[in-house]
Amino acid sequence: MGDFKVNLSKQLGNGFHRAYRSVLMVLVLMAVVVCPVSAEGMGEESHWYDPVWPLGEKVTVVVPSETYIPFKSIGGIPGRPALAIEIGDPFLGTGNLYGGFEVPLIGAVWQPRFWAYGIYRTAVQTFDNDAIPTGTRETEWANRLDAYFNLQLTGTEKVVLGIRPLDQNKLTDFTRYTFSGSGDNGFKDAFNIDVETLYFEGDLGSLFPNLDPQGVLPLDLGFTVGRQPITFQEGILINDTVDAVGFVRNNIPFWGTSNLRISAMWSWNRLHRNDAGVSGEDPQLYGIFTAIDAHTSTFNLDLIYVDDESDVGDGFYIGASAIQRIKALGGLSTAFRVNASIPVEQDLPGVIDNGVLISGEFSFPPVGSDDIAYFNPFVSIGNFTQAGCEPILGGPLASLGILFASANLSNYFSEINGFTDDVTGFALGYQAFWDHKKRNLIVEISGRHEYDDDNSGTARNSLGIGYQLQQALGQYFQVQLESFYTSMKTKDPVSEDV
Amino acid sequence: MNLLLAIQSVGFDYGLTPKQAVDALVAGTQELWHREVVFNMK
Repeated sequence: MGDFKVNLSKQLGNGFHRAYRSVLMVLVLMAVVVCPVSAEGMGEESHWYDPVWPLGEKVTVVVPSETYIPFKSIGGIPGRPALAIEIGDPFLGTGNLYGGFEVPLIGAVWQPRFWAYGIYRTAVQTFDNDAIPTGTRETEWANRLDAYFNLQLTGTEKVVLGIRPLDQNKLTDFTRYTFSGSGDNGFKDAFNIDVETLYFEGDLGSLFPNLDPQGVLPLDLGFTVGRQPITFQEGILINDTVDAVGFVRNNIPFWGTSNLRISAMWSWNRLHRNDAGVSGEDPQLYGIFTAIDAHTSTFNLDLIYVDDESDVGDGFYIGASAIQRIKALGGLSTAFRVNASIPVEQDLPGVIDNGVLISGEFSFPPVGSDDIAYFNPFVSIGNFTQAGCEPILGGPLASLGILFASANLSNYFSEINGFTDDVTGFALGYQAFWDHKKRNLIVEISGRHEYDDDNSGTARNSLGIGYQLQQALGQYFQVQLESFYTSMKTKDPVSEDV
Repeated sequence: MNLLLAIQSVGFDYGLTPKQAVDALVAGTQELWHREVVFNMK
């Protein structure tokens, strides 16, 4: 499995007046993908905006057929995409399952299966950064491989090992060939066999059935232990890979809800505090995470305390959200989030500081399509810092738009700064689908404005436009083409060198 | 319901038409609350 990506990008300092190049590219691209669709007559009254709204494939209301359709089985439908290695029962295969064996003492019946799979990403990308005086065009061929080895013991218990042999989890440490850039040109390898993921997860009741043969004790506790990715509040509060142990209790009866889930976690190692590259002396992280499914909304309340013995100091983090569909404007899917960081001992800007990030997510599917139109505004009061963030990720704003998200692939970072310090902004975008969802296009305009003149950041205002086109090829490959253009108005004007 | 509509192109076993499968699904549900909704289908 893998994808091939071409990135064409431009980030420009000093002003908003040179965005025409990528805009033209987007218009040309839209014309290419839209024309075949607009020619499809739907037999309905036509409008002047039909070619672009909805942009994607037109869909009609599906009704159940009253005609018998012969049942299709193996041979009549496409086969499943097999994994690279499958020992034991295949992943999502058909046929009889292996009966397994009973493990002495604990009484569990294990049906071991070993699956190995991976995602290989390779990209040719070029990025011209005029936002800094020393900025130069970086053109490179970058590579990343996420390889996973999964030993499945039962439906719930499994051991997962993950390695990234082509990168070392830093933007500068990817296996790549640099055609031009500020550093050394030529080939650079970052080969390694470091363990990026290694955890064991399952359910206590399923793992030790002999502890409760009658099934009456509250042992249905999910657990996980080891190195694993942790994401809460869509990655705004924490988006890191840490060594941790955690427990979760689901389906807790609670008045007025259909589900209450509570998780508790302790991490003892590998916390990257706000992506600043400062991890202290293995800070300890304690977290309690709550999810409530109520009548109209799903509420989340997430609390994290970081105990850091180094000079960085402790921090308290809180995230609250409400996710629901509201009736306004014909129906909107919405999410409202408030995330806050509170230093307990000292402020250390960029690592742990006082700040609140308020964000909203609004989206709806245009009638007659499976497309999605979205608008995600945000405002930060103070310097909100994340409890943890992987070094190659794009900061707390990464989930709000593709221009705030990092490509997670070599020097090419997020198009617009994804960190927050007295800023406000938005992401406005549209995702269209064609070819039975095998092709999709995202077009997005995003911006941010730093409203505090005392901030030390160099970028005062940013406004960007970009697109991302993805096309699936068969069952294992995906090609991706994207480019963007960002204009920045800097606090201290830099020389314009384009 | 949406799942049945999505997979109806591959047919159903036991000689069921998609409509019969949908009717059987609806008949087997337990009504928790009742509400009438009018859809304006274009």
